[in-house]
Amino acid sequence: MFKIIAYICFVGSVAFFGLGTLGLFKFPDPYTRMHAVGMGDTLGVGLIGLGLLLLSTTWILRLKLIIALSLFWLINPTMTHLTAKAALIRGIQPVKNTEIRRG
Amino acid sequence: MILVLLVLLRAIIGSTLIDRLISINALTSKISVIILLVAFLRDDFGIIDVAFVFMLCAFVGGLGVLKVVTHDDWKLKVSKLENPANDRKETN
Repeated sequence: MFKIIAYICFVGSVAFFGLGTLGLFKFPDPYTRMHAVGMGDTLGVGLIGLGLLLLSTTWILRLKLIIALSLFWLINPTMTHLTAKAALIRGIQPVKNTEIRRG
Repeated sequence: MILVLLVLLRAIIGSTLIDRLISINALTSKISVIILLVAFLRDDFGIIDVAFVFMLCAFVGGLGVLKVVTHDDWKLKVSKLENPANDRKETN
């Protein structure tokens, strides 16, 4: 039973990775590409971790997996944020009709 | 695996440097997931530590690249973008 749920999680994670990659190719702008890749990778890694947690047998293994997932969820948004800020500093123009707000 | 190749293609043809950085980020996340899956396929759970070290090294390397490619100050100059009048309207 757990194996079936884990395999469904794997298929969903591959689908989300594929959606992120599709967004990386289809969007017109570095910022929108960043958005697509960030969302898709975060959900895909979460689903892979959920499936591996269901498949794992001992508690130390689950602990290591949880640590790996939390490390990824710390690192990936930080990296996306810093990349967006670097793009703004380098003066890369967003796509047309973008509202600029100071926030 | 196919997705890794696709993201690598984006990294190669990417028009700007930021595109390449984004695709390298996506590559590292996909490769760490593949390392986790390999650890479970081979029943050798020490490989999960390899995934930790890979993620941390990718993060530190990305930080170094960002530090190199930006200017020396990290202050945002939003007025360099187009439509500065819109921006002024927001602040007033």
